[in-house]
Amino acid sequence: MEGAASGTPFLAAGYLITWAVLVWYVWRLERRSREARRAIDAAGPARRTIDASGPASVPREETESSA
Amino acid sequence: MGRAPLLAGGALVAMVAGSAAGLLLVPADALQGQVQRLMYIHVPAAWLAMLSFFVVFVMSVLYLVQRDLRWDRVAASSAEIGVVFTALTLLLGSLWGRPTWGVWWTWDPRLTTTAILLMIYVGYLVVRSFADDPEKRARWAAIVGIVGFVDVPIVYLSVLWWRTLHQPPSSPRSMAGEFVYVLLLNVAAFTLLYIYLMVRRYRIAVAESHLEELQMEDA
Repeated sequence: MEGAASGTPFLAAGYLITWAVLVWYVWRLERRSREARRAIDAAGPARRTIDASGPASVPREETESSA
Repeated sequence: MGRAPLLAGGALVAMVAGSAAGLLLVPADALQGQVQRLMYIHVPAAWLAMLSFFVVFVMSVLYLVQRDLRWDRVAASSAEIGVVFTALTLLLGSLWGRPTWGVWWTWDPRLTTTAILLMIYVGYLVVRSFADDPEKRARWAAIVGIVGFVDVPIVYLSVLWWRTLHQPPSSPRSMAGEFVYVLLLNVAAFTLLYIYLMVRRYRIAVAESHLEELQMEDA
């Protein structure tokens, strides 16, 4: 069957693109998260709330109960 | 250990298992051959996009009723994820369409309404960038999020309402049992991935709101 033979490169491209998009998006979220934390540190060092798990200056209850 | 690393690990394992099952576990389709395996990522990506926009809709309604900016942050986070996965759905559909239909793109009702959906939610994100005031931004975005959602059922029903190249909605009645299990595994994996991405994206939204407050205090 022609479709069976000719479809494999499209299948491979589909899976590769999907995983590439996922890795790119997670990387982008990580970078944006770091940038936001840095900007908060720069904007309001005196108002910082110590929070080891969430964004640097965001109250723990809001990050922990989120989404 | 926090929730995010656990969720990340769970989503990664589920996604790898889903991909492995779709590529190795089930046989190729008798008529379409190997390329039909794209269904195991194309359909879950479309599901994730629809789920994202449903969350935008619900959160937009909640924001307009309660005027709580937390709902707006959830809506904005979900809209961004929805845009990424709608674009991915169109791309995967195009890759599936070329060997089966003979074209990369056609102005078919399902494809066209999905492209409109993508434009609506790109517009949603653009609208957000127009307003500096968080309340005004949330109000405008909520209106777009509610009105824009009208296209979601149209996308879903387009293959039933109009003559179309696209197949009807995939369901257990329209495919063999072993295909169904692997598809459901991938839908579950993508749903877990959505929850993980939402947690990450929402935290960024919270941090950016806090930064905005700090900058407004300083101004």
